[in-house]
Amino acid sequence: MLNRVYLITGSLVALSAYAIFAWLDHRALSAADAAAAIANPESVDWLSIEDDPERLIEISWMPLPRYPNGLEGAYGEVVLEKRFNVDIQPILLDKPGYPQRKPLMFAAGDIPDIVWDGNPSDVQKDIYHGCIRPIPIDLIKKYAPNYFKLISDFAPMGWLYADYAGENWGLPVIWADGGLPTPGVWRKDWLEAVGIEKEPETLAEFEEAFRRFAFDDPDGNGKNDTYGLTNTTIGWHLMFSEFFGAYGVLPFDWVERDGSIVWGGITSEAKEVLALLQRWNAEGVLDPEWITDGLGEKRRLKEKLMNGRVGYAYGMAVFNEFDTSSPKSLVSVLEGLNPEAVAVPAKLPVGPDGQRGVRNWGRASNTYVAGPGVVAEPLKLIRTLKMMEYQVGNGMDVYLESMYGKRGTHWDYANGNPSEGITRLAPFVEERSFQQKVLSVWTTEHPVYHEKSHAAAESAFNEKFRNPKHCLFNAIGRPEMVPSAQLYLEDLRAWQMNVYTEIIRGNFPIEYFDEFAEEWLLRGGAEMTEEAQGVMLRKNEIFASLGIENEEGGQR
Amino acid sequence: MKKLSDSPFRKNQELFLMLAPCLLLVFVFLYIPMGGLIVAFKDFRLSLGILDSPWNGVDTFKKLFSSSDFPLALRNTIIISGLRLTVGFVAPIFFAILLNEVRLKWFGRSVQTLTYLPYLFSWVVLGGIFQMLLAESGPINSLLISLGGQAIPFLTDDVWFVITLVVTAIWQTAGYTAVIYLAALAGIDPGLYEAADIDGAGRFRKIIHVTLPMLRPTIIVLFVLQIGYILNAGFDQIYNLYNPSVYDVADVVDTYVLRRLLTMDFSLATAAGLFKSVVGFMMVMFANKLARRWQGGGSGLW
Repeated sequence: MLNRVYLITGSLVALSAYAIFAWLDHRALSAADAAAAIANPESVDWLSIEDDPERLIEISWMPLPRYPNGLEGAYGEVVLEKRFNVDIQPILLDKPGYPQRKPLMFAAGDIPDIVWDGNPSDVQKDIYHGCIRPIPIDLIKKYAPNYFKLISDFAPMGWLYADYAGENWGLPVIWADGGLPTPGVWRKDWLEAVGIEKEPETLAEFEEAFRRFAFDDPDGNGKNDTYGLTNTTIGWHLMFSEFFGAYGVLPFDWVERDGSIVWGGITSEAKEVLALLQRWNAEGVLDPEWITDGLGEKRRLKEKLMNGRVGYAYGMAVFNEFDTSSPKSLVSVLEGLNPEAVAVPAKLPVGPDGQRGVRNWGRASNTYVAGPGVVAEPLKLIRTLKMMEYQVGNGMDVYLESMYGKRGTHWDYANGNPSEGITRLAPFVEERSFQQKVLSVWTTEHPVYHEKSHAAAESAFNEKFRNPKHCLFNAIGRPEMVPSAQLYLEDLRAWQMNVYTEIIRGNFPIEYFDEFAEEWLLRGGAEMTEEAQGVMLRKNEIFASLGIENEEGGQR
Repeated sequence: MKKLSDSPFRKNQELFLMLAPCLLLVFVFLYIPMGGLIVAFKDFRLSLGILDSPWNGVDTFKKLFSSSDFPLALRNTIIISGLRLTVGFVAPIFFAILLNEVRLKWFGRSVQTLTYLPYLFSWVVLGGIFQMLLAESGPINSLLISLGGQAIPFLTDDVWFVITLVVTAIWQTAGYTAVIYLAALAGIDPGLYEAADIDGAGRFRKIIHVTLPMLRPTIIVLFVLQIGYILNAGFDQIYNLYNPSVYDVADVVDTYVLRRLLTMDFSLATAAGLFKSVVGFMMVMFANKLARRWQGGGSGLW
């Protein structure tokens, strides 16, 4: 009896399993069909479409994720809604929620009309998954000529970030401060204490200062408890960047050498810097805690500078830290802790061949992409373009309104004086209420207006300490711009980080570098390097077609 | 031929009826979603959905295993997991027995509560605390130096890092696991101890010959359950403590997958999860079989 039950159930299960599998197999597209469905979505004859201003258009818009959750109906949003006869439905995610919520929304087929993407790789993923639609360059030129010119003039790399298979898939946005290098900071009182009059400029002078910090008891407490400098392993883009810069190389990026693209991390210059750092570590100039410093946050680095453990810290020379009027700035806190301590922005060290510089992301930052909704209703995209054009193409006042809200209500010039910069008015001083009530779906920063809106003091600081010429850029914008980076980059980067750290700590001899460089190519690096040449050509092609001159470094 | 009314189904039909909703829930919420596992064998595209995405056979698994880092990550996982499973498994047993021998009831109870406490903290918090405590200039190293020793690079040296991982993991979970053993210890018939007393056994002998044998079923059940997690080396802990200088020993399957998936590679995540589950399942079956054989068909999980 029981055997018969087993037999019947067994065959039923097998049969239904087969049926389910057959159905699944039948449902699935072939690889070629799937690729075709994604690469050739429904097309629109964009340029023949006429806008009808009378029609109210709904646009769902997922902007930059922010803290804390925003609200619908912010000032900036309402201004746009009234002016352009649109109903914007903002989807405001918070920063930690964004990477989780976005894929879930997309998987459920709930793709907003306009979506913010942080990195070029996010744009590529969205394309791969068939979630977004191309945005023809000609359409952008037609409805947003000033916006188009702004991006082409100040952040042309943005067009490469939005490029796939010869089409444009995104609307790049600018991060205005992205073109400014960030040098380190000295404890000036320490420099004086160890008898250094002239602020260090060359790498050799830097090294001398570090050594004296470590051995000449700059705090005068009679104990051997100080170090020259510390650093970080948390961001590959920050790690000892000014010292690699002194040799003109970016260790975790693509750099140009004799007209072709190579990985900076395997060049002989990188090896020289590692040898130098290894020496610093062995001599006790480099704080041994540099590996775990910065794992928490930058605060830790600041503390070390203030507590008198190190006399130099990287990447801290920004105006916010030197703003005497802000109680949170480095100089104010330092003053409170130890009135004798003085922090000054450092220069970037000049290497043996006269090179100097520090890594910089460039002004091209994020990208807005368009979901399938814009194909069903093309006016969604056209109105969006008109709004972007409006915010950057109508002079400083309109720009400021879109960034900061209404003058006199949300912000005003400090003491009514434009040269003292913009201050937010109460209660919008607080980030939370500012983001909820004022800022909405702003689009891009405008470098010229942005600079003009600074206080004179900040402009002077930037002028004096942050020379845009000292930026070092990745030759093709980002390390992940090559397609096979998807397969190799993260692994290679983690491995390189490990090898570099071990070399600097002296656990691996410097000779190991050559072995590393060879193996790096074998582990997929060669494939990436080959593709990088193609990306470089594509970049030149895009720049040429847009009439952009390819400046030195490829971007500004 | 037996009558139909004799069948167990007919005889207990009310019970089966009561069980039915639960079975339905399990089926709907635990078994149907397993259908999503086919994503591991597909070139999954969000816009096409699970069903329409094209098959790609075992390409995703090839991608997973062919990378140069995966074998290393697997090795690290097994080492760390293995240490946690051996050293970390014995520690709570030892601890529970010690606690059981404490005659001052209030003392035993307070120690139990205090050691249970770390289990409730998240590694995000603990990670920060240990970063500070174990730093080269942190309190523990300062103490070592003032005692005339040398600073130990707990977090940056390969070997010390693994030791730190295992020790902090034990510190966090031993109190919790010990509670289970304490419950089992409370159930031991006092008559056995009295008999041992009469035979002239001391404390130590009693532990060896009474306590441990009586704990054996609990130990086996917990071991079989634990071994299913062989490929989980404790992601939260490692992720919050590791740094580039120990990547070569601390990069485990989970951190590897996290790195590979930074954005929306669902197939790879599913394939890695499936691989872990299959290995875990096989380990559990194997351990269970071993336990049954060892016990002469007696215990084991089922």
